[in-house]
Amino acid sequence: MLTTFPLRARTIRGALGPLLALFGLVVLVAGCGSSASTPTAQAAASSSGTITVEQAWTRPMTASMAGMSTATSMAGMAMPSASPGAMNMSGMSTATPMAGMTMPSASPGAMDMDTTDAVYFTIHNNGSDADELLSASSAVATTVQLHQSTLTNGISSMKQVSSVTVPAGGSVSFDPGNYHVMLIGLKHDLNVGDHFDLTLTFKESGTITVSVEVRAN
Amino acid sequence: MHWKRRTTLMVAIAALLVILAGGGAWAAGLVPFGDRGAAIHGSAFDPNTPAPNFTLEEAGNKQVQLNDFRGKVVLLYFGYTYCPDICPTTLATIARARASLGADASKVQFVMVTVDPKRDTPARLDAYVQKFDPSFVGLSGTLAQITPIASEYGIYFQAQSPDSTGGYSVDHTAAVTLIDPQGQRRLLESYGTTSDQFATDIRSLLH
Repeated sequence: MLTTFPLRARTIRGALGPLLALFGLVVLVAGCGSSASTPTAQAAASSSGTITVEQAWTRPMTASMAGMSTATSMAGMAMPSASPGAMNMSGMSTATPMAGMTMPSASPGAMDMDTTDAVYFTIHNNGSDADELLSASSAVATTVQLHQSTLTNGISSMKQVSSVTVPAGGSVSFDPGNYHVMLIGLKHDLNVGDHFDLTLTFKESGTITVSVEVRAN
Repeated sequence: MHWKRRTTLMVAIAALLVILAGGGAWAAGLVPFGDRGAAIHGSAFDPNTPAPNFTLEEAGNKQVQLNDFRGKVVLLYFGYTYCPDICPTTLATIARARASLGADASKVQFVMVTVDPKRDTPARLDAYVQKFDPSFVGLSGTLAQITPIASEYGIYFQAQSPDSTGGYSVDHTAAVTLIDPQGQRRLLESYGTTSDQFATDIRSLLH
């Protein structure tokens, strides 16, 4: 084992060099391409100046879990098949049959407890100066914060961060288990297939509004 | 010709040494279960011991015991519903693994015990876990009930102080314990285990 490992590592590294060079070239070309076509930004990516944000997504979540449980105990309404969870997993986005039942109380909140969700995306900085993501906002949640999860000795921890630096010519991924935008107190259900706006504020580049896709994973 | 034969011999000797070293390490218990040929991912409990039983509350005032799930592979997880990142990622991964198991899915039970009983009522937990898979079970209780259970399973948890909005997060061990159909504690899956790895490990405990 001791003898094979360095050999294997060297082989991989040897193959990685040209691959990385190729990847770098592709990124460079892509970078030029996107800045040139900024006016016609694709649906999957939003950009402002040198900052591009792409592939923003979140998981489906109900706005009120208390409402859901009331519905469950209320009438035994065939919960398993009607469960939004079941539909999400199979990727369908038909309107939830429960929608009519969870809504009747005109006062959202009060007894209902907040639900949370996390938004993920990738930020590219094509400029020659570093930029900083300072905050995020969205109409779908009462509070929106920048968070980071960390894993230390198998223990997960989550803390709010005041800003996230995007290095010049680099990118930062908001991924499960790392940085995420935390939506606290969802105002309505997020169902698979839905899209909503999230506005990101950068120190240098100002605000960028991205369309977040709700998807099963 | 001579050179070629010597090279072949050296390669053969090297290969033999590698196999012997691997076998030795395995016999000495130095490598996790996952490295024993079959691509088991989780770390094995060695020796297996009975998974400590406990009783907690499910939605609808139901008292549920771990031992109620004997006959199934139980995936035991400690988390909380306000956790927007690590917990949903874990639950979604396990839901995918279960969906990939076909007929074996009926012999798999995911159980989440809350590490935030103050906010996670049984009803709230139930709604949360069912977002991922209608078969999932969420259990709550008092902090005094849950603390010793978590401890028995080697799970650390600690609520952080509230932020400006009054919300708080709970640090917790993000691992999933796999219990076999006979009620033996078998594998520990760390955060980041993929759905394919979960599926493989679950199958290995079923067959």
